[in-house]
Amino acid sequence: MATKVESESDGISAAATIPSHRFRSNDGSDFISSLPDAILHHILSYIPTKNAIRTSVLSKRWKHVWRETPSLSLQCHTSDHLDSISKTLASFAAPKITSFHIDVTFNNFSLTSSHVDSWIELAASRDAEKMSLVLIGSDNVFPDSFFTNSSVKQLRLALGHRGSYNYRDMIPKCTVVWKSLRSLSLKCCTLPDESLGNILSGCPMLESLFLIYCQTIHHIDLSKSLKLTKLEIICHYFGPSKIVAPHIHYLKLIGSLDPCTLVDVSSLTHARFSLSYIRRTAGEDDFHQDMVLKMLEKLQNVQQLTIGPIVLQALSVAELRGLPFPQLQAKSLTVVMMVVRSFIPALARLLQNSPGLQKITVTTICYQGIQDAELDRHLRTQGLNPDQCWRMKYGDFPTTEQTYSPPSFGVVAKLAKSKDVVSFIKLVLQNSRTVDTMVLRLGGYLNATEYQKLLRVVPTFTRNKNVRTRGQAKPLLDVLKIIP
Amino acid sequence: MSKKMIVLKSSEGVSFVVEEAVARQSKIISFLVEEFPDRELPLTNMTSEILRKTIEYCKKHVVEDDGGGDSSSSSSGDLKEWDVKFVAEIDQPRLMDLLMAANYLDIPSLLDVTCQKVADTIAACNDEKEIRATFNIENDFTEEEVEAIRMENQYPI
Repeated sequence: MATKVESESDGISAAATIPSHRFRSNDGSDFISSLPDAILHHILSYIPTKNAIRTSVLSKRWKHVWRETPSLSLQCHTSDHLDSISKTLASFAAPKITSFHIDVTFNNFSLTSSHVDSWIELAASRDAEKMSLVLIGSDNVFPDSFFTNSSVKQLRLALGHRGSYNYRDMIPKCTVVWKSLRSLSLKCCTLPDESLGNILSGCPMLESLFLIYCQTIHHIDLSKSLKLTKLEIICHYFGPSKIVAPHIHYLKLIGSLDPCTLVDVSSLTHARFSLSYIRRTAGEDDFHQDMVLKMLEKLQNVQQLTIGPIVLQALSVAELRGLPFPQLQAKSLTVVMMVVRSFIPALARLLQNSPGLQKITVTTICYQGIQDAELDRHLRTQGLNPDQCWRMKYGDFPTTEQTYSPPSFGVVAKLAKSKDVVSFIKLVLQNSRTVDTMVLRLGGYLNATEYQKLLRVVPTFTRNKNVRTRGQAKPLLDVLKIIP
Repeated sequence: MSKKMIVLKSSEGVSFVVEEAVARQSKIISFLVEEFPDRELPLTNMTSEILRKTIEYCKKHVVEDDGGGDSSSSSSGDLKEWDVKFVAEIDQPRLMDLLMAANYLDIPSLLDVTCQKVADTIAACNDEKEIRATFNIENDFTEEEVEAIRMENQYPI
């Protein structure tokens, strides 16, 4: 560390290249006002524009500083705000904007095309690299000029809320040219396949694509997007039916129940796969077991795999029915689940079919998922006796109903017992010989007493008694790391 | 494994022996090391206290290329947490010194975290009076002038 050495300057000291004024703020003096404009702009770029504007009345030094902050972040929730935003933008003088964010959420349609057009023009004229437009409750189309922009690198458009059934067209009428774009996020857009194709062919540099609650996409073809390595799709009611993405390394797919086929994802190394919604047509539901198994087959070369709750339950039914599972190459597997029996058959099978698995992470949730009664009904339609199916191998584990106390806000799975978690840890260790680390993110799944019980018991059956915990005091942070 | 060390000297003449890779996060030092190899680098406008803090930050953020170190193997999430704690523990005058040091030594990530902290402090103030009090800014406007500026910037708060 620091050693005290006699100081002696010699001839060609490096100090010659360093300005010699000393900066040292004395307590009690106004140091911030003496900072150069560039630094004040940097500071103000971290706060919403309305707060930056507030600094204009601090003193004469500050009167015009905010005008050249290279970042704009504006919120607008009533139509009165629109005029003041226009005024603000008129006095905005930064020659270049790094980040332009505008959030307009209205209940009525007072936002006109001319507003949106003028914002887009401003962002484009100042070479904005990061653009984020939240335009909810208006009905405008983007001007053609929006679709030709060579400076924007990161673009985020949110045109509605989840569940609001409020989708807006994202249908360029011209050829898209976003030649610097690296990252594109579209939320609540109606995006036909041709439009997506138009966008993709206009973004040769695109690396990440996020499609969140977008509708009318049927066929996602990324085979010509050579740089695009990261794809996230979150669906609510409508999802794509085909994904061709031979170059992506990372896929997050939270699917709808529209059947979806992964045609080519041969470069994939990280994947996260969940289903967000189960269509409940009494008696007919098969929980898309075939689709889920086919997906799993396409994910068999993935090194880091995360699987969500409904997928696990569907896989459990498939396992009880004796359907064949693919072998997996995963080194790290993360599952999001409750420690109840409807998740166990799938997990045991996944562990057995992952001969190279080194790490398993279990994130517990308190969520009903598919109810046991529905799963049983389905097993019966397949000529199976549900009682027998569960009891034979998985009788140690409780049902969802025995663990989950139905919705009362802020109350977690009050009924979860440490002994079930212990059985679960044992089951994982029995079913995998290669796992060297198991991480349990309990996040309040057990109450404090049950958690302490768990901590006492776990070292008694893990070989080297190497159990690490974090955040014991606050149950919401419980992370239990078990080295078998 | 011997790593190349360099010596940085504070305004009080205290020398700090630092791994070159750590110090090279400063673009200025990186340049000076190439121009004046094997020499002490006097940083005549940095106090020992601030230089020590700056080195602490750089040590945490150095990216080891030989994989031999264990001090820097933090994940980016942990590192962010560490940064937040790092600036939270510093009082305001020293934060300003550190910000200037980051600017002067050209360490962009340290400049970002210190500016972010100042920005958060500004945003946390309820009104301009509180900002002035926090940063000892003297109001050299008349009441009328303040009113005029307010009229000009009618952005809703």
